[in-house]
Amino acid sequence: MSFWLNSLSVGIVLGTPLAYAALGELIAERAGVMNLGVEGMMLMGAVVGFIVTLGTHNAVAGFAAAIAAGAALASVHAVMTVGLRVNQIVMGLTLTILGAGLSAYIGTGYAGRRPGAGVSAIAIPVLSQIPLLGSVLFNHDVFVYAVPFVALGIWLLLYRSRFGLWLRAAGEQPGAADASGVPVFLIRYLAVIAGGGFAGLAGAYFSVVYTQTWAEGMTSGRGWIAIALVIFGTWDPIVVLLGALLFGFVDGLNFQLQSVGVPVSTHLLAMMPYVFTLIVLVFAWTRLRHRRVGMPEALGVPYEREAR
Amino acid sequence: MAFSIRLERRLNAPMAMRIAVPVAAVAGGLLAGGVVMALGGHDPIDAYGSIWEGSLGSSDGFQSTLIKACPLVLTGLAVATALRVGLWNIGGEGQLIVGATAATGVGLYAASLPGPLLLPAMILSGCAAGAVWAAIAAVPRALIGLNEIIVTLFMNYIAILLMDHLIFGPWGDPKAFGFAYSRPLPDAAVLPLLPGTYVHVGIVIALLVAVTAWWLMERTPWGFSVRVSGGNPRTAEYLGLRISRRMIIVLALSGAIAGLAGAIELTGVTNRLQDGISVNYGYSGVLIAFLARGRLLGVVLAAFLFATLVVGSYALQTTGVAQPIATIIQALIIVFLLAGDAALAFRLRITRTRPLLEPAQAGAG
Amino acid sequence: MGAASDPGAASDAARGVLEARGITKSFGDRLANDHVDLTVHRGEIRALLGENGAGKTTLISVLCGQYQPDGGLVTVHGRTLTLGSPRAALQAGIGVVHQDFRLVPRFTVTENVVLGTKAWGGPKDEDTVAAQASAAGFRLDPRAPAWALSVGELQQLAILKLLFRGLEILILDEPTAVLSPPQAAELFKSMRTLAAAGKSIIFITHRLREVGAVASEVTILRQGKVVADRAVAGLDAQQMSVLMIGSSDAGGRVETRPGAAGDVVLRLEAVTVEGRSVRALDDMHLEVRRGEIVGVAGISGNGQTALAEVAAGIIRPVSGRRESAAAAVAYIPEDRLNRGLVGAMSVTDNLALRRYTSRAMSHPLWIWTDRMTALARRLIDAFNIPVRKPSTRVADLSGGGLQRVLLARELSEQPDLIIAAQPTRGLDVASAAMVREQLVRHRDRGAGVMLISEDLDEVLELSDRVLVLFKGAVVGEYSRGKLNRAEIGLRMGGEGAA
Repeated sequence: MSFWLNSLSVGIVLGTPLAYAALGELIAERAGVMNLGVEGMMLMGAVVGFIVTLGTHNAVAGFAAAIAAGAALASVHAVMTVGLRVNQIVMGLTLTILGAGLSAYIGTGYAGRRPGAGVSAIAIPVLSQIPLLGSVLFNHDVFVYAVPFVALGIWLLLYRSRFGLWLRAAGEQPGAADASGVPVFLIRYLAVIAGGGFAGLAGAYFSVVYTQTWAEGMTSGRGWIAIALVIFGTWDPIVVLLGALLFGFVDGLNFQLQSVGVPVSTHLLAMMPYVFTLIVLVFAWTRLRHRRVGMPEALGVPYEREAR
Repeated sequence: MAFSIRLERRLNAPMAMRIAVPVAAVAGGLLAGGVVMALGGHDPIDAYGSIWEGSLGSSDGFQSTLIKACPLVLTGLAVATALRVGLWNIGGEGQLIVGATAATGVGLYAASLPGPLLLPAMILSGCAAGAVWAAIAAVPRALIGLNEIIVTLFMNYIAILLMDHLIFGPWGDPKAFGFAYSRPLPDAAVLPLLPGTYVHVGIVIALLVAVTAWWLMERTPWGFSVRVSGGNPRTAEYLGLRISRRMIIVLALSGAIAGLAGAIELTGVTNRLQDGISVNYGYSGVLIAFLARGRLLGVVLAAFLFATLVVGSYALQTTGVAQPIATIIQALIIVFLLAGDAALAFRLRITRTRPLLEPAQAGAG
Repeated sequence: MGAASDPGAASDAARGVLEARGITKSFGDRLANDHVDLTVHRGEIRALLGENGAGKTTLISVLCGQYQPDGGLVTVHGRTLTLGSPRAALQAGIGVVHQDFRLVPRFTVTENVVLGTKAWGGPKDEDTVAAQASAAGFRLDPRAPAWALSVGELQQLAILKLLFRGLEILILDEPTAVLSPPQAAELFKSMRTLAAAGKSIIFITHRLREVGAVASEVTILRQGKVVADRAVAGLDAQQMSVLMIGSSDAGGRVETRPGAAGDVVLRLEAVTVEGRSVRALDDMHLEVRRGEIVGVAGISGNGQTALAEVAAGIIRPVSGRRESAAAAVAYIPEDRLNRGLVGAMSVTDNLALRRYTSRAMSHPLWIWTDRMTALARRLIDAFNIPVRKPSTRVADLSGGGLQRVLLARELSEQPDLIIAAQPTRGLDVASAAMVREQLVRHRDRGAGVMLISEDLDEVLELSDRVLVLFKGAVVGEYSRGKLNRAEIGLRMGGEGAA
């Protein structure tokens, strides 16, 4: 029993950064811009968040800097793809590679050190005393508690606000939105930059909170998992959040299995989240592809007002 | 008076600009890389001096550049080939690794094969493994339209973990003191060198592959049909071409080329399977193919440029600048190239938002 | 933002609600609008008439802020409009119903209506929209998603969107192109009501008879210039046509003699094809004989695409049979760039698409590119394809250029059966004339031709036999001598005795 509870608890912690990164990507994609640079932005967030936390002994400053770093790299994506209408796939990949290189360069000499400050878990009074589930659900850090509210907030923003209506329109039919007086370019810029901020935060969560260390390439593909999560979360923030927690759980299972001494190589166990993602993706897509549920129609297509 | 600045589509970019843009992009990338180094507290002029010295400026450097160019030419070709059928193969990294892994398997378990058979067997198994790895992404793409970028990428991480499992486990070298090495391969499994150099023959193989890929894709009817399928699937459907079959075959070929790169790195350079057998070659291949505008022969040139940067940046480690700078410069070159593309496609037009009427026109109404 | 300067405008009756002066806009070398002037008064319905490519759509794209003109000035109620901003145009009161409606299919009626205003489409907005729809005489469910609406309903939705914002200047871009004649009459009635209520309407068309039917004033554009600006009264169709085309040769219409129908070359029996929500083709029976042009009239969305693709043998019907005696079939698809060509490949490659495997062009191991180029040069000359080099990318060609590439490729093989879907839509006058000429020439040579077109005039002019398509089935058949325009019009809208 404690095996599953521990896995669940670890899963929630591992799923949290995935959820932030995926929700950020969701915002950009709902506005019609695909950002394949998430992995690079997470790495930048991880290294900058780590270094600033170390330097200031203040995790809040670290996270703020990480968000800024992710947003900065994303603004390059926004200028290039929204402003200059460059191919989103090539640009995003390039930024992933650039982010990997830059973070490795900046982080030289920081490998193996401790951040010196962190974000401590807060046990919620009463609730955390609930037998079994109490400590699993209600003894976490503030980012974990915030994530369902963030997902809900994004849902409300998308479906219950004028800005959300405009953002969805920019992702579905930018031409129609523009003709209706919606500032399509501005919205796309904001969405991409906000998405990058979320990725930066997710990266810092890895380095400052979860592993409390910096290592080159430490997100090892979590950014790509976040992108995949958006697809089988059918571009719905609530489903994306649930998906992220599920993947966190699978990821966490790996560590739990190791700790109980399952006689399988750690490397094979570490494949689980990737293999699981692929299998779920294939099944989800088989079911969804005909209806294209939720996929913004103009996703990946640069908008040009004077295009004919 | 207010002005508006907007981009306007250019119908035809002048020829001089088409040549100047890629050149300027490379220069811009190098310049921006210099800025990054300066910000990191290093003298960029010194750094570029050692890059030059370490790569093209010396015979040893030049030979190292040729060795490094081999996997980059191949991974660049892998990406450019897949682009012919409209697919992005971002999985060169994983295909290269499984190629090296399969070749190692043959080298370790069929070591008793006579020398002239062992080497080809290893290389072919590397190709086959790369092809299979890529086909795993190609099949869902072809049959249900699942995005190949995500799948090829995930296969990279799975490939790395598979290799780690083998070199830390069953294939590990007990004498490596815990380092991530497989047992060394037999002497017969070493690729010969070009006479008078320490450059292995891999670069020749890579060039042959480039010419073959060009011939297959650009000069055979089948290659033509592949380009039609990649260029416009709906037109291909109208012509009765079977697109899914072409997708699977071409992506498998692409994977085979990346797998070949792995087998060559193994037999020509490392001689045993080890962590870091690929230094982001697969990802660099994407950038190389893009820098070459997808042209198969252009890939050779672009790969050579990137090899120069990588080899040169090894020399930087002695001057204290970390090696990731090569990756940074490569990515920056592409960022500048993309911006240059935008400059080719659009023209900046600045107009007054409230144009004044000329009297003659105002009267003409 | 918006109309800013010169407050306190003089009386609109004298100077016009909207005045555009000297609008000039070029695309590359082509001058799409050359110092165009346009004035609309309160309560006026003004027709903007011109051939395809005359610059009508460019002009309204400037008026609604989508295009930034190279020069010119627009005033609304005497106030200067900021050009190049859709927002400013809307705030000044200018709204357009575009040909493609510019709606968001996944949004509900309400969400589409309120998009861009302060509202977000909540329950209160639904009530407002419902009330306004019924006031305008539209039957629209405020909660229905736009994708579920018919073309006529979409048009109503697009108009409602403008009314919701209280816009005063309504521009309708070719609104009748998607309507049957009775539906068009209905639209004209709504337009008169709106004009009577004080709205100013600009009505864009290339159909002469519609000008007299609804407009009081007309502005005629030819090759980007205004060639007439006057009252409709006292102007007959012949005069308008001369002004619009520039000569008395009415738009390159071809001289057609009746064809001599021979053996059946295509037969569709009880063909059914599934569509997105309804059946695209429903139990379709049809025959095409050698030496005849069978015109298929109908409003778009009634199964034309499915019919063309089944007839050309590209898609298989769910049930029913397609029999064809043709050795070579030519297909001129509706969506030229996406269904027949490869934009990123050269003109040479595109011209060789159907014969690159022939022994004259290639061997399984080698393509003789010089032979492909030679073929391309020959076809470029024969069909006047407007390119300097055969290596030009097809995506860089104009609509007329694309259609010439397709014709050159498809018709140079002496086909027995030609399926042409909307073959002149959006083409310049010369290219459209060439298409019609080619269809007649091949008919006279003995090919069977199926001409699917939404342009009823074109169908009536060229066809030896006319079929009317409605909801995926043939609802009327007329032979050449017995064409009845009014009755065909009714049948296109699903009315009239079957």
